[in-house]
Amino acid sequence: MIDYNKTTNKSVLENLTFLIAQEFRQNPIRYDDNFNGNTYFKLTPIEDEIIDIRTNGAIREYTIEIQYSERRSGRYTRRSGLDNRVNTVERLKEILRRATASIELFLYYLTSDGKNFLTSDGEDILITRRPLLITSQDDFLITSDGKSFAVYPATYTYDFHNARLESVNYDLESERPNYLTATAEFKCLVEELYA
Amino acid sequence: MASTYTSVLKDNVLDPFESLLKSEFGKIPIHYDLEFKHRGNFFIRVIPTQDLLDEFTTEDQIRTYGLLLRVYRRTPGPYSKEQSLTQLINYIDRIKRLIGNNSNYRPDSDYAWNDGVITRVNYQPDLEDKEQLYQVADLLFNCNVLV
Repeated sequence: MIDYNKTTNKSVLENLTFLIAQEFRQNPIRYDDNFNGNTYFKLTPIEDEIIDIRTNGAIREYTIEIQYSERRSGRYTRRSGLDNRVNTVERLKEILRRATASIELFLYYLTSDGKNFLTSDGEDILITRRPLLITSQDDFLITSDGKSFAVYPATYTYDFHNARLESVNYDLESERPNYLTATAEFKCLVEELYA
Repeated sequence: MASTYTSVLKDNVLDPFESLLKSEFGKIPIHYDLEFKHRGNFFIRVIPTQDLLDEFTTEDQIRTYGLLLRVYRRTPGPYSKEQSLTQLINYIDRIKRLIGNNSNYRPDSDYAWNDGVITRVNYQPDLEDKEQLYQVADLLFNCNVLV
């Protein structure tokens, strides 16, 4: 069996799931419609396409459909039916705008005077976007002495770049009549080396 | 008297492609059905889609060939991300890498193709009613052959 990278799932889908889950902690993230809660996101891989072929690798563009659904309640008005969807999508656009290059890292950290960082629960630390740091248990990291930190060694694992929400549609009709939906198209580039 | 010729699509593309897939994935069923047929829980349907003249000289020509691979997978039980989605997309990534590693393919030192690549993967293809039982992904394979 050849060695290969699980790029679509690991670099794109799981990473996107993580970014959304961090911001929208109350909303479950699903990959199907088998859910009856009030609000949820559904992620569906749509396609990937070759952008550039390298001597020993390739750049591909991945497309994931992000659908936000919220249960209808009462008579449709702008306030009950539209505002919350609009706000959710705008918030989603903002977190993706800030995470255009996704960097994931499990490494050592040193404060500016050379002391190691320790997490209170012994869990790994994950960088989502410098300088935002959280532990793997979703706790934010605060230094006790307010000192700045440096990453050591300064190497990163790369996931994707040029991430953006290409289009958003506030659906007039939904496959599930009990729900109002907004559908967005997420695109990102991934450079993969075959070496 | 009949001319001597080489069946390029068969000898340089279809046969090497099938043997490359089978060398990596073992006895994976590969079928060439035009119309969809149930062929088990996991199989690939290959449909030649393109044979295009790319460059032409007096002595030879470079042609671009295209194959559509439709991967079918059926898993029992309720939907789960791992069973119903992750395994299929990991499988697709493995095919992409296999073709990437063999973009200039010379099985047993015999030239088959060059610039082979999976140009596009579609995880949401249009399906006939009979295909709805399966998780399906389309892959477009393209390669150049010097004829």
